[in-house]
Amino acid sequence: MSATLVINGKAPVVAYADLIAARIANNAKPESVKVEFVDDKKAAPSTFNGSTENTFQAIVDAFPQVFIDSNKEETAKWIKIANEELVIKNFQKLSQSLEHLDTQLNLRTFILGGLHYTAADVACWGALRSNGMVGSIIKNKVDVNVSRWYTLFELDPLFHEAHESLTKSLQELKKAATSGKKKEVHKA
Amino acid sequence: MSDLITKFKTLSISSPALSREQNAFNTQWQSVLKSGQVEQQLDQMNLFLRDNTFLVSTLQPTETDVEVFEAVLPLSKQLVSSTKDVKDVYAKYRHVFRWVDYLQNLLAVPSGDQLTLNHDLELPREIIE
Repeated sequence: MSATLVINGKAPVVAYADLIAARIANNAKPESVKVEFVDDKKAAPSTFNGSTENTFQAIVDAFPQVFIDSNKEETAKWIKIANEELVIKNFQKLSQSLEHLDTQLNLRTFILGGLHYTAADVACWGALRSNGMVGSIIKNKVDVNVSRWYTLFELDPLFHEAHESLTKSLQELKKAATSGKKKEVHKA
Repeated sequence: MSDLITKFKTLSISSPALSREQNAFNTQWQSVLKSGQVEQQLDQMNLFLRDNTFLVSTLQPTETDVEVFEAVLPLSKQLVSSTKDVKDVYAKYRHVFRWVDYLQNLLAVPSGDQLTLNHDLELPREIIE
């Protein structure tokens, strides 16, 4: 049975990392995760197999062949940083967190080093993608290494097309909802 | 063909069609190679690798990365071994070293021939004026 991920497109912090992780899993093996979207300010940012807790970690754990973790502890540390420090809108605090990430990337291509991105990169990239404060900071190369690292993933459709797929699905949801309403009006 | 290129070809890294911009970068680094001016271009290369993970601004390394790497590896080792102030050399060439380290691991360069890199050396924060 395949897993199900529900992404809330109206959440204050959109769960891009979860969405990208699901896209990566589906790229490795089609239909691994069924991705659905909701448009509801009150709902949790994301729900994986019915649970809204630690969804990103749960997706990563569900696909150990895809997210090969050589260092579970370090991965968990960066997922925590992503969830707690990279989504904040306080400019001063965010600057400090980005500086920390920048230092880590001084001599590393990916957050945990190595030859391929890991869940740590997905978590941090997704967090930054959801943060409206980040766009201009990346563009202005305030943290040069972060900018170089972030830009690399923009070359990967699994990452950069996540936003597009979300917007498209939300538009379809809206369309479906309004066409439903029209029907009711017609009935009345 | 060099051994490293042969090795690279066995890694089955797909070579995507290059955009016009990427093609221009490719030509630029190939002409640096042909002219034998790699050492003179090291500062320029560091600047380029500051903003790009690889030399042709691709998602994955290309043959051009491997060819240039072959020339840059001995130069980087020399830079590190011939200085008293390692931190200074790291700070100046941090992006080249990051890229060298990626490629030497990708191509499984024997550890004795590698550039030894301390990934956690504390470097001054780089600020673009």
